[in-house]
Amino acid sequence: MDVIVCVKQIPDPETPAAAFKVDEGAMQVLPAQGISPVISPFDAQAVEAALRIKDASGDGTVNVVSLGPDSARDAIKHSLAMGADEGYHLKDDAFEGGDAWTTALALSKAIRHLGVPDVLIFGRQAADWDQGTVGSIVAELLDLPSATVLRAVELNGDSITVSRVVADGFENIELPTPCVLTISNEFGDPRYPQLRQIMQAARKQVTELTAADLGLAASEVGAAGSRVQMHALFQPTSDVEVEIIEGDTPEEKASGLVNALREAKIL
Amino acid sequence: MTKAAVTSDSDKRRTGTTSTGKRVSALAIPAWLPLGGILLVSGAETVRVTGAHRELFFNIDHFWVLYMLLPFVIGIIIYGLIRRSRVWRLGRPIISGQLSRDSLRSAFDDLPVRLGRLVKGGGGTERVLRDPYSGVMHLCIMTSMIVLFLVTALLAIDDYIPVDILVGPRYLGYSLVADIFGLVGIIGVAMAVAHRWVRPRTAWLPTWEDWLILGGLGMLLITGFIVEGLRIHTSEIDVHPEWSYWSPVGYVVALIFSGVKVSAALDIHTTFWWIHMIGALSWITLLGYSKLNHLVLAPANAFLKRTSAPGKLDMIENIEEQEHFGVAQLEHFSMKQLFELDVCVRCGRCTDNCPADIAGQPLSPMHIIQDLKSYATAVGERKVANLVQGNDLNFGLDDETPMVGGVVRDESLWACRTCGACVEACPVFIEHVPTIVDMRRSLVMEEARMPDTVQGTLETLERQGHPWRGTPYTRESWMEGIEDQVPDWTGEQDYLYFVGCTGAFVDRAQEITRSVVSLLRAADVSFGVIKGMESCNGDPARRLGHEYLYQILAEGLIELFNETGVNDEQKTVITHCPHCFNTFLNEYPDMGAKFQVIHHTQLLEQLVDAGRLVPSHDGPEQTITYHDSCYLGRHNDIFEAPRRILEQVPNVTLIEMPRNREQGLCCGAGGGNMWMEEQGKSRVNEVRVEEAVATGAESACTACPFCIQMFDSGIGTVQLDVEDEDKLKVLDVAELLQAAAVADGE
Amino acid sequence: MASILVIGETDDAGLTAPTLELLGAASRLSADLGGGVALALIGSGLADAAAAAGPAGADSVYTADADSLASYQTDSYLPVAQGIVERDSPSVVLMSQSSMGRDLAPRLATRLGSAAIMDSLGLEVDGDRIKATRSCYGGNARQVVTVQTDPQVITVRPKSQDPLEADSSRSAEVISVDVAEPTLRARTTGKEQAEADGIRLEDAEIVVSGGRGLGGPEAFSDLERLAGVLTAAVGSSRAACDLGWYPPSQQVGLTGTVVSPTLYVAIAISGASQHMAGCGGSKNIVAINKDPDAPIFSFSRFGIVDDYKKVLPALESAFAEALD
Repeated sequence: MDVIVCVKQIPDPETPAAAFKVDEGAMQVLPAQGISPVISPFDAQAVEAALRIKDASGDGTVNVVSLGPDSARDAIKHSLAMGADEGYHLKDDAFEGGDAWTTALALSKAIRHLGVPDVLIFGRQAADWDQGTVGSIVAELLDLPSATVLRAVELNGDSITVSRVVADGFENIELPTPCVLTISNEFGDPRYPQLRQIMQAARKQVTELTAADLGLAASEVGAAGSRVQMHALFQPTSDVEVEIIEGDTPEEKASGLVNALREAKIL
Repeated sequence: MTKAAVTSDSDKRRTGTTSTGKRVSALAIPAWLPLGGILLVSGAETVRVTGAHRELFFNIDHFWVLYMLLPFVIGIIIYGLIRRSRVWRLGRPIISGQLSRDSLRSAFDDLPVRLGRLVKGGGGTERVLRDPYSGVMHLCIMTSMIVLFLVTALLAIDDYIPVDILVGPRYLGYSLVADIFGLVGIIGVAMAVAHRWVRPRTAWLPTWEDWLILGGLGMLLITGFIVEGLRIHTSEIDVHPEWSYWSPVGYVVALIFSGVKVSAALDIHTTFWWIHMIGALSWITLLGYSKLNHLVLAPANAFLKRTSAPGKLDMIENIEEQEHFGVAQLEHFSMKQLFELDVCVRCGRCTDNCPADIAGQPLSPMHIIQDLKSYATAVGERKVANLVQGNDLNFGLDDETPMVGGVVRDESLWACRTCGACVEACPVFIEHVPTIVDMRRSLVMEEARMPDTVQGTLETLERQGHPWRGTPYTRESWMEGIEDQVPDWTGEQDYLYFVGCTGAFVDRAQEITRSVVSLLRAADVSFGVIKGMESCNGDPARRLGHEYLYQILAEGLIELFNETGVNDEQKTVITHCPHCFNTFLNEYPDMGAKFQVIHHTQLLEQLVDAGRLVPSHDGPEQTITYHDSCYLGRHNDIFEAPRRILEQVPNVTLIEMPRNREQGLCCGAGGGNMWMEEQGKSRVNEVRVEEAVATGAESACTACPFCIQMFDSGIGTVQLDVEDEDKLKVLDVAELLQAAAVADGE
Repeated sequence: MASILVIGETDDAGLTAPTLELLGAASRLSADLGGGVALALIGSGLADAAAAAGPAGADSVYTADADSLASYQTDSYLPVAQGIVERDSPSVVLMSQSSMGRDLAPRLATRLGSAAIMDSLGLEVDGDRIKATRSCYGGNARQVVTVQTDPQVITVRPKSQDPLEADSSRSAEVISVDVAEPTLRARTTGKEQAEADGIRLEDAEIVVSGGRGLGGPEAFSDLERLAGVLTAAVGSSRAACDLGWYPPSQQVGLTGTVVSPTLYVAIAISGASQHMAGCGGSKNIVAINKDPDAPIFSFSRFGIVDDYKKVLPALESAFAEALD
């Protein structure tokens, strides 16, 4: 079973709040000192899902595609270290400033370029913009069935059985191949790369593809091709002043809280 | 980097003289007692005993059979040891110290230290004596065996040389000494048997070996007395009764046999003589086939034990070119590591002192060594056979239980705090910690199999350069409001204060960092801080088994130190974290570090001694117990500097927990367990907090930011129902000293 | 033709609360934008829900009513939604950031030649565009974005908008849409209920939530008892779910359920941004934590600094007494 996983390199979502800074003028998140960008955690889980599919099917390949600047290479290398076979880096100045649409457009072209695999896997959302649309857009552009926000993926002969996280539980969905899946955090932790694989991944060539390689004009991608425009990026301020309920005993504190909630007409 | 961490204690380990000096050298006793006894008696003028002697091989024909058997016995022993050594030789040819010194020669580095250990630790059983019961027991058996061997040898020598030495008073003194030490031996054996019945320890499992060795030895001693008694009965008691008083035990035995006719007694004597002699020769062959081999192997292991600091782990050089990482198979161990499996006598001291075992967690160092020993016997022998037959080393072994994960369980490896209590306690000088970390290395680097919390810690180290996943702080958070009081490192100052990750990212530890800065300023120390640019020195990665990540982090930090002029023999790095301290001092030289290292307690002690810090502010009267950090104390021998600081703070009374200094109990955080979820009956920190609370002290002082956190969290549980103001307070030495030596507002 | 088309959802009780909120938002936006508000309902047995559309703010309601549409499936809903949008040609399509909305919106937008903005917290009209404010970077930042193409597809976080007061004097024209037999590629074969029962997290007025600081799964039964007293739902931080202490379906956070109840009681939760992204919209947060420096207090209205083990029993009886 051949799988392609699309991954993204993002600022570490575990960056402490105190180190998280936004340049409001440039509408950019400033890199935090000493904190390296990482593969989006959901994407690492997507790679894990892909590797498990490959293992279960007994043959096939897991290839990784990422669109982004030079640093995106690290997300690809991380995926290779986890066990993916080949990496493809969509890298072009023309891609800069793009949105989910232009990203998905370039990815779908790249996937066609590489050959549509049996399964295409994404993280449920990139943990920077938290939109969660690229997988679905690619599915639409490639006219493939899709299932999103999955906690489990199982190979079932030629079809794929998945468990989708919904509001009140889980839905079991059966998909034919080829199809598009997006993986949620409930899927479980991705594997930690073995050192040998990290070293092999470091030596492995990553194929770079430009907009022209994919038959895309500069006007179709990046900021020029975007359909969503950002007007502002800022950090929310919390103006709540907490009132600590004091008391000598837990009982006093508890009744103090209940009274306070009553006075504030919350209860 | 020279070992410039300059208090007197830190030097002790390097010269191999860790003894407190109060213990009597055990070696002296067997040497002096017999000689003294003989001299005493030979000087006794009043006793008319001229001509007293006895006949060698009295009543024995064909005694030459013994001499014929002797080479066989020696051969059997040597065969046993050589057979066993083929398993040891499966290991890599590295005995001790650096892996890069790929030869057996490293076993002879620091020869004086090693010889000293051989004599004191091996021959003198220095560590055995720490436990009085088992010390006395060993002393009894050991002196008895040595004396009786000498006695037997002397008798033979006397017979074959033209001059008669053992005549008259000398003979009688000789007889007395032999009898006394025979009795001493029986007492020792009885103690050993009782030990197994009456005082069994949890870790402690007597097996057939124990009973064979002890039963055999007991039988030898008893048959020896029977033979002697019958000789006296048949040849001495009637002729020279005054001689026989000098063999008191034999005399009593002779009295017991007094009713037996002489002709019958002579027959019995012959039978027992042969039982005794053949028994002795058989028993001694156990040297090659049972744990009796510790008579030979323990001193050898004392000699072979590494001479570097015990807290130092071996570096994997050229890590990118290795075929395997860490130890997953017997042959990945060094020869020394395989050898020492056979040295283990299952005494259980390591497990009795292991913090994980004490807390009911799934780790027993003794069982790790013993399980590996069984595995080395079963699987190692088959690997040897494969080699002999020219097969692949692992031919036919695919279905064997894996060594790591099967024979030794993952959770045991993860429960290790690398605190070194087992290594410190081991009377036969086994080094458990490097063996455990070697297997962790395989789990992490080879198999990437580890608890989620370990994975999270390693990922945070990789990405953020510190192990404190989820911290809300930055490297500079601790400076908020006092930026202008913290001098930037310019390369001109004498000392770099390396704050470290815990000092920066953990709020409780930030307070220690600020105290240290305040003290350094008050004492006018020329120091600076590399603000915001520090990264982890790699210690957590290394202890968790990720040697590669350690090397990457260490290379990065050394590069920073090179760029900023820190890596210079004239510069000294201050750390308040014993883990940073140990890594910088003992492990960074391998990475090219040249700078000096000092722990804040060492520097603060110097500053107090020099009068640059005067602890003059009276605090409240308080009793403080000092908790030794493993990486400061046991691993680096810094026990006294922090205590001497505390003693100079006014109104402080220092009291000790029962487990202190070399025997101090880990707080539970070592070996990366700071970031792991503990599994087992209780938590190590709670056990240690209970010990601290039991002293009645109002405060516990320590000198490690991990210990402080572990204490704080342990107190929350142990003293859940205690009013806050009555709870044990936990302070770093620096915080206490700051309160006493720095005026408010400074 | 309406300026705003709301693709609503129904349950046994009719229009869901988020649908009513969307209609409220659409009414307010359409006042500035011009044009009307249409509601699209896709499902089966929609008559009652369609009747409620007018009072809730819709001018017209499209119903695609067929047994084959009884539950959401991408392949069956997508062409129907596409048909309604193309027929109505609104400039804005609003959906809830629900299981359906997050799956349907991006595919629908793409099929319509446009793009989607997901999980908006605030909406305002700017010319013919809707400026949407949304949370990003795990709740650490907010961005304001517009879709530059038409229709502007936007999903809205539940509880971020207020519904209108129901006005029974209003009614909406019901337009029935023909439904072709769908071609299903991905097929829903079954459904599992989440293990935890009781009040649904996203519906609850009060949520009692526990984190890693609870120290173990047992403590959640104490939380459930307190929730019983308060008629609240029980939530859990991601850390506690990841440790297997509570079912993942009860996870509150960026990657779990996003809740905005009137009262959110955070017990032994430190308040990591990942978690706050899921509960930051709560009207009132009460934190119980033994660490006075826990970040959760900076988001809270009231706080108790103490060990939850001591406070919880007292709190349970105090609430029981107060609500009796």
